[in-house]
Amino acid sequence: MGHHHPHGHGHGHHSHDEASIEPSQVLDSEIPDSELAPADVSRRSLLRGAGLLGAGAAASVLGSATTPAPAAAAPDTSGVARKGGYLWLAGDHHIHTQYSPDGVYRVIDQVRHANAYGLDWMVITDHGTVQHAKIGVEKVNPDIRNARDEIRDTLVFQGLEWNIPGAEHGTVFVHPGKNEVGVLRQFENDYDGTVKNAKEGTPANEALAIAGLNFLADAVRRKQVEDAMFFANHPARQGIDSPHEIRGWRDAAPRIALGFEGAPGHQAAGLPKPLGPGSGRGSYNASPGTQSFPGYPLESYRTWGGFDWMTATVGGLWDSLLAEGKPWWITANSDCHSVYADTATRGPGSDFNNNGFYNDPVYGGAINTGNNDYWPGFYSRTNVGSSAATYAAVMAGLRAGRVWVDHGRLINGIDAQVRPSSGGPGVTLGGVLQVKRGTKVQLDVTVDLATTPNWAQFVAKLARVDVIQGDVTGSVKDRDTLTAPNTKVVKSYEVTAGKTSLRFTYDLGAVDGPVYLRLRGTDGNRSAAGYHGADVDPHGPGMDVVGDADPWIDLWFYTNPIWVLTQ
Amino acid sequence: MTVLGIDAGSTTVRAAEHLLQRVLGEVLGAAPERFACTHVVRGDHPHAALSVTVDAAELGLVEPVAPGAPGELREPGADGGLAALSNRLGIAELGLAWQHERYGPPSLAAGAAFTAGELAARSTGRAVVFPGVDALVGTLTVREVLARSAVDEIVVVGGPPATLDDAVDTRDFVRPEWRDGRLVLAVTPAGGGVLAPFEVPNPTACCADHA
Repeated sequence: MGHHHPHGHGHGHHSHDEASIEPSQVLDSEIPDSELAPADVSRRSLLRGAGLLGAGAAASVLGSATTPAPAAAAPDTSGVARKGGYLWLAGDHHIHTQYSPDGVYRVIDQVRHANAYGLDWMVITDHGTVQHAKIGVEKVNPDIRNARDEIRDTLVFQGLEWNIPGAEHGTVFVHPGKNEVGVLRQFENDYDGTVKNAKEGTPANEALAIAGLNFLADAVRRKQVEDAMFFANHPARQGIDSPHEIRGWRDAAPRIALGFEGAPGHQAAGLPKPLGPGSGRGSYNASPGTQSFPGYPLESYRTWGGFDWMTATVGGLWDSLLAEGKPWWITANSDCHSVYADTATRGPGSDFNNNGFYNDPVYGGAINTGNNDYWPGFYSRTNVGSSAATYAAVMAGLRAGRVWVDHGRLINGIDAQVRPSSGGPGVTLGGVLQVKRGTKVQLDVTVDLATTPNWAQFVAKLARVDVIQGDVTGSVKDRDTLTAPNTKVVKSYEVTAGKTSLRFTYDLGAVDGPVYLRLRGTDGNRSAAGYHGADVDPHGPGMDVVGDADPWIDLWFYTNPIWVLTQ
Repeated sequence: MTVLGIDAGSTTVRAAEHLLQRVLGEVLGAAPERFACTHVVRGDHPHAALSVTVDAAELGLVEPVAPGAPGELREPGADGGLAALSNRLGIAELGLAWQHERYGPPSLAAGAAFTAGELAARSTGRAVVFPGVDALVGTLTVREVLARSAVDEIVVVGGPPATLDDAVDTRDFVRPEWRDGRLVLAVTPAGGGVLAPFEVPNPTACCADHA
C-alpha cells in the first residue's frame, strides 16, 4: 500500500481521531443535535451563535435514527510517512469497463493500470443501463473481487455511474461487503434515470433523485452496507445540474451526497487534430439545451484549465455553497472509457444488448487518436487524507473533505493548517477551526514540489499558489444562487526556482466573522482574468479551447476548504 | 411578415431543428428575408419549439380583420389554415399559433404562441435561418459576417473582444441568438488565432460511444 508517497517528512501530528473531527457534521444543520457527539454539539452552538444555522434548521430528513460513523480504521502498518497526520491516498472515483455501453476494458485492465500509475484506491463505475441493472451490476462483482485479490495495494470499490433522475451523471459507491451488489442493484433498478426513464428535468424526476439518496442513507443506517456515498460527475457539462438540485441532493442526504467533480475526466479530448480527438477538454463542448438551467452562462459549458466552471470560477457556484457553510467537496477523475492512443479495441462478436458486456478487448493494430481519456492515475488524482489504508478510512477522508486534487502530478503533496497565531493545533482540509471573535489566525502551508516525473515523463513545475478566501454568510434564500460575492483571491505566492518546497504563512489577522480558505496552484503556463473579473481573480485559469487544449501544459491543483468560525 | 409558432414537444434542440428543416423543405420553402428560430419552452416539461416568419399567403391564411376576429381556424382537410399545415406535416401532436389563432393540444398551442411572441418581439430565439445565412460559409472576417448577414453583433466568450478583421471559421454552422432586439453571434477562440461560433456542429453526446 502507499507506493508513490515520496513526501519524506511527517509533521509530528498524531493521526486525528475520525470520530472527533467531523466538521461536516458540525456544519450540517440537517443532522439533529441528538446524533452529534457532545463536542460537535458545542461546535454547532458556535455556528448558531454566528448566525449560520437557523433555529429551525435542525429538523432532519434523517429522523431520529443514528447514522453510524464509518467503522474505526484499522491500524496502519504500511510505515508510509504521513503528512499532517494522515496518509494521503491517491484515487479516482470514475472509471468504466466492458460493462458500460461505451466501455472497452476489463476490470483488471483498469486496476492494473491504476496501480501502476500510483493509485491507492479506485471506484469501478459502469453506466446505469437496463442491461447493467439486469446483468452487469451482478457480473462485474467477481471481476472486482478477483482484482482485489490480485492487486493487493490498490483498494477497488464497486460503484455505479448513476444517471441522476432529471440531471447529469454521478458516482455512487459502497463499502465492500456481502450486500454491495444487492444494494447497488436495487438502487439502480429503482432510481436510475435511464432504467426508470426519468431523465427529463421535471419536479417528479428531481424528487426521484432525492429518494435515491435517501435509499442509500437508509441502507447505511440499516447496516445493509457499511458506508455509501455520491459525487456528482461533470456537473456543468450540459448545464443540467441546476444549483437548486445540487443543494437539494446535499441537504437531503448530507452524509451521502458529498460533492462533485472539480475536474472532469476525458482530459485528452481537447488535443488537436490530427493527432488528437480535437474536441473539448473534458468532452465539454455543449451548448444550452432543453434541460439546461437557464441561469448558466455559455462560459459554464467549457472547462477552465481542465476544471469544471463551477469549481474554476472564484466566487462561483462552488464558493456559493462554501459561503453558506455547506460542506461540498471536489474531486478529479479520469472517467476512463478508452485511452488516448491505445491500440485495444472491443472483442469481436460482442453483443452488449443481450450479454450486458463487451467481449474482452483485443489488439486492434492501430493507434486510436480519437480516444479522449487517460488511464486512472495517469493524469488526474484525488488525494484523500486517510487515517489508514482501508476502504473505511478512504471513505471517511472523502466525507471529511480531507482532499486535494491535481493534474499531471503538479505537486508531490501539500500540508495546509489553519491555527491561532498564538499557537496550538491546526485544522487541515475540510476542517473547521473555532476561535473567539478577534482571535488572530494564520494559514500555514507547505507544498512539496514535484521531484519525480509525471506520466508524460517530465517533472511538473509549480509556478504560483493562490489563497482564496470568502466570508461565510449563511443560508441563501434563492436555492439557485451561483455566486459568492465576498470570495476572491487574497494572496498569491510565487515559487522560487531550485527549491523543493514552498512554505508560506498567510496571516488572516484578527478574524471578526466566519470565513473559509482554499488553495489553488498552477504551472503558470496559461491564465486569464476570472469570470467575475480581475479584482476577484487576476490570473485564474483560461477557458479551454475546443480542438486546441494540450492538458500537459496547463496544470492546476485545488484543495478543499478550511473554515474558521468565530464565536 | 407575421410569425408562426410551432411546438411538437421536441425533447432536444436538435430534434426541433430537424423538424424546422421539414417545415421549410416540405411546406414553406425559401424566402430571403425569413427568420426561423428554435426556442426552449420552460415549465414542468422543458422542451424545444420553433418560430418562423411567414406571409399569410404562404399558409393560405387570412390576416384577421381585427384582433381576436373569429373564423380563421379551419378543420383538417380544409384548403388552408393551421389545420391544413398540421395535416401536411403529419405530426399527431402538434401545436401551432399564428396571430390570434391556435391549433392543437392546448399545452403545445401555448408553447407555439410563446415562441411566436418571442420572435415577433425579437427578444429570444436561436436563429437557424436568417437573411444572409447562406453566405456564412468557410472562414470570414468579423466585418464580413456583419456585412453579409442579419447578425448585428459578435461577442467573444472566453477571450478578448473581437476586432473587425478577426477571422471566424464558420464551420458552415452559424446559430446566432436574439438578445433584446439584436441578433448576436457568440464566438470563441478556436486555436491558431481564429474564432469560431461557440456552438459546435456536432457536440459530444452525453454518453458517447468513444470506442
